[in-house]
Amino acid sequence: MNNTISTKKTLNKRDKDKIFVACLVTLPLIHYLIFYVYVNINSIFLAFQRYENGAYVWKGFINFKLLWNEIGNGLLKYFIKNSLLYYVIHTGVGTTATLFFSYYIFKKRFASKLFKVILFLPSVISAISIALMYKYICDFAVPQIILKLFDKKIPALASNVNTVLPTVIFFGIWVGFGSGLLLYSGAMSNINDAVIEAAQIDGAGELRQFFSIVIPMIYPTLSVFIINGIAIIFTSDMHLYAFYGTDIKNLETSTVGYYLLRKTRSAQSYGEYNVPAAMGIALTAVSIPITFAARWLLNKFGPKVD
Amino acid sequence: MKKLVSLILAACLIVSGMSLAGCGNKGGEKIDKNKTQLYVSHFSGGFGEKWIYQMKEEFQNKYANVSFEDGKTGVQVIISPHKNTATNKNFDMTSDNAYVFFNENVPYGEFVNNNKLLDITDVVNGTFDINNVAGLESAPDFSDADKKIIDKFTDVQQTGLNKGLEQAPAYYAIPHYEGYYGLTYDAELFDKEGYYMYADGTFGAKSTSKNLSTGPDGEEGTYDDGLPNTYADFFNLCALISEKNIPMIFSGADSFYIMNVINALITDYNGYENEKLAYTFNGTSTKYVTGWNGDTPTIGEKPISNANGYDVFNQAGYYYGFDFLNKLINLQNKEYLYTDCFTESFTHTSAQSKYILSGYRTETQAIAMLAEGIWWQNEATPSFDEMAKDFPASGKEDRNFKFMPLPKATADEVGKGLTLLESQNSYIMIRSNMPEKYIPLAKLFLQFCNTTDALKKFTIYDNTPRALKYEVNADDMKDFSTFSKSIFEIKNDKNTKIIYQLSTNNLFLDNMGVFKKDKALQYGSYTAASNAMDSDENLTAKTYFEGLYNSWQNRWASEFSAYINN
Repeated sequence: MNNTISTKKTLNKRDKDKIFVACLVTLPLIHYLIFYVYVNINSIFLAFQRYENGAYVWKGFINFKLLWNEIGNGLLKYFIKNSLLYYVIHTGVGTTATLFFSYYIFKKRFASKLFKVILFLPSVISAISIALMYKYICDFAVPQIILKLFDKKIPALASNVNTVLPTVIFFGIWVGFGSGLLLYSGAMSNINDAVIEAAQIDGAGELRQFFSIVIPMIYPTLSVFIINGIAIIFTSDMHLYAFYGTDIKNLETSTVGYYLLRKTRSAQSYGEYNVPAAMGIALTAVSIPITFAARWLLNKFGPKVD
Repeated sequence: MKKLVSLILAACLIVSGMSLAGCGNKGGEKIDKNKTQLYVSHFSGGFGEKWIYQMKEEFQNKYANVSFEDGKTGVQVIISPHKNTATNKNFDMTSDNAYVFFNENVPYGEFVNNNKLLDITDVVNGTFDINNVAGLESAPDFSDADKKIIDKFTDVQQTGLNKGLEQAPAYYAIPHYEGYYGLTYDAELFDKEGYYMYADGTFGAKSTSKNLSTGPDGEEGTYDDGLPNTYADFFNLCALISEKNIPMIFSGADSFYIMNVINALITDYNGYENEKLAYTFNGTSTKYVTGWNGDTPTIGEKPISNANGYDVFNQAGYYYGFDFLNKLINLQNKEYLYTDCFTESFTHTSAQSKYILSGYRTETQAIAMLAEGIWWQNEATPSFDEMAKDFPASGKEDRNFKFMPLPKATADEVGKGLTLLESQNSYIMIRSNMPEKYIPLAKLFLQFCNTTDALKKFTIYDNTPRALKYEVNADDMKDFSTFSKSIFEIKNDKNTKIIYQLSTNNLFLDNMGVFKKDKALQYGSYTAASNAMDSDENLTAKTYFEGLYNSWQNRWASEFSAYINN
């Protein structure tokens, strides 16, 4: 009798837990199925269809051909160049600087908390607001300051085609500090203090500790960031949309991701979605092998804790 | 602990779920449960919303004692203002709460094909009578003339908006406001500085002793006397203005402001019949460039159809438009332009503000002309109000701004009527899947908003015309601002024609976004001709014209193959 009662209570509790979990998961699952699975399946269909005479019809690979006609002979090389340039500088300069700042904060040096707040601030303020402020500063304030200090006239930095790229890349590095700082300093805080102390006793200086202990120990976090960056090389818009909307002056200063975003955002008729859909498929086909290859390389040749 | 966390999580979920429900305050107005609600979605962009709120008040008053459903008397019009045009990704009619929609940039053909719009043929042709609806036999009605909205449609609207047969037309929307891009000039500045042109081509103040130029219409004694006849005259005027002031200003953030003025010049040169080909792809162009005599195109004829639709871009209007743009930007190394006309942070509202403030406060140079749409004064209301605080008699109603009839490309074009390009595609529509019991009410509101009185009030309140035919006499115009009067002088000119972007050709309807003028005039890496010419001062109009035409020719067959042979 008692065994039956206790078994019945256990089942009910388990069932209740399942119901609770199901309730929690249902809405996100529906959201995922609609806004990720359905949207991407629809996008795949769109890539092989054209909107003609009021309906979508299957047209094979024509959208890929139209895409190549649009950008293959001229703009594509600029897109790839800018996308790669942004990634290399963002990783080489931005990630490196973020790692050093994170280490500085990890070591709780002078004003480390203040730096933490200042560097993280762009991440908590709306990206559009930050981009707008930055754009105004670059277009109006900086030229005025340079004129007053050095009596030299420089163009509006966010408007002149020769200065757009460096201006936007610098912005990308600056706003990228926040999320990296948070994650790297979080990963560093998980390092056992005993390991650091042991290194100090053995006479390891700050830089030695950084390269020989901290980096290997946070390498899994670092490699995720690097791989993530590689995965979005061809979809990142380099914050260009926040700066210019769809009205950038010269597409030679944009990236693959921005071009795709611009084409989609500025579409005003059903017939304008098919080529961007094809572009998405093409970019996915390129990004997947590169990302997996990068992941394999980083895992094989990256620093080991031992 | 686990239980506590679960309870907190559950509480958060419940609270967030409740916040989604809303509490009956739709559109920010408290629902009156004793009245029937009519939900209206209103695009509140540059044209303002003074008129729609006036219509709301008048409609509510007119039907205050009419019962549209059991247990309720009167109607409450709930307006939801927003800033999403009909092609904006955030605008979705079918899932909206509103019944009646006032919006712009409407892809009419696409909406009809996708069953988003209610058939309102009875409203348009005047056969809808509220007194024929059960229970509303004694509701206030309208005159037959007011009800027959179709009589206010232009010929091209009657054809272009008809989605039925010629014998059995079907209409799904009513044109709302119309807008054009062009140049606003400061008539007060022109008077003060002597920027009016005389018949002999010199400039000075208006005078009784010296004849003014005829203006682009080629007639003396009309509203455009003293304004430049041709592009050459216009640039002589710019040279004069730049000696002391700044000839022109426009937004640097959005290239479509200046590019749509160029579109206006292109449309005017090509003329009504030729420019219509860009939408119908059916007819013969009489402004087709067949060759060159130096930098002057030689003109001939060319039949246009779906198969060679790209040839519309080989019409001479495009060349002359690019030539005007090139001269404006590069003739005097941008001395004709305000310094920030190509600065990305210089928005259209900044340009408006600078324009109306120029010559006041610390500004030492006045700005003579603004490249904008005719709704700009409504949009700049906050700037006018701000200015009026510091400078009495400088508000919107006190300033003497006028809409300039655009000059003609060459002297032999002077005297040919003006062709305006309607740029807003604004319509009033009813959602097809709205609750059936409220359809008569929605249709009644449509009738109410399209009476002749309502049309005139639109112009009085929002300072811009409705896209319908309606009589506006001198007595009506006494309530219009100087700017509105100047627009109506042009619109009512017997030789003025207006191109509405309507077509029954699926090639255009399916690809409206592609043929939208600010996109259609762009090729290569620059996103606008103005950006290309700003960056490369050696780029000529002829090079850009030929490059644009070649890009359309190269892509046409592969991109529009389904429509060729149709």
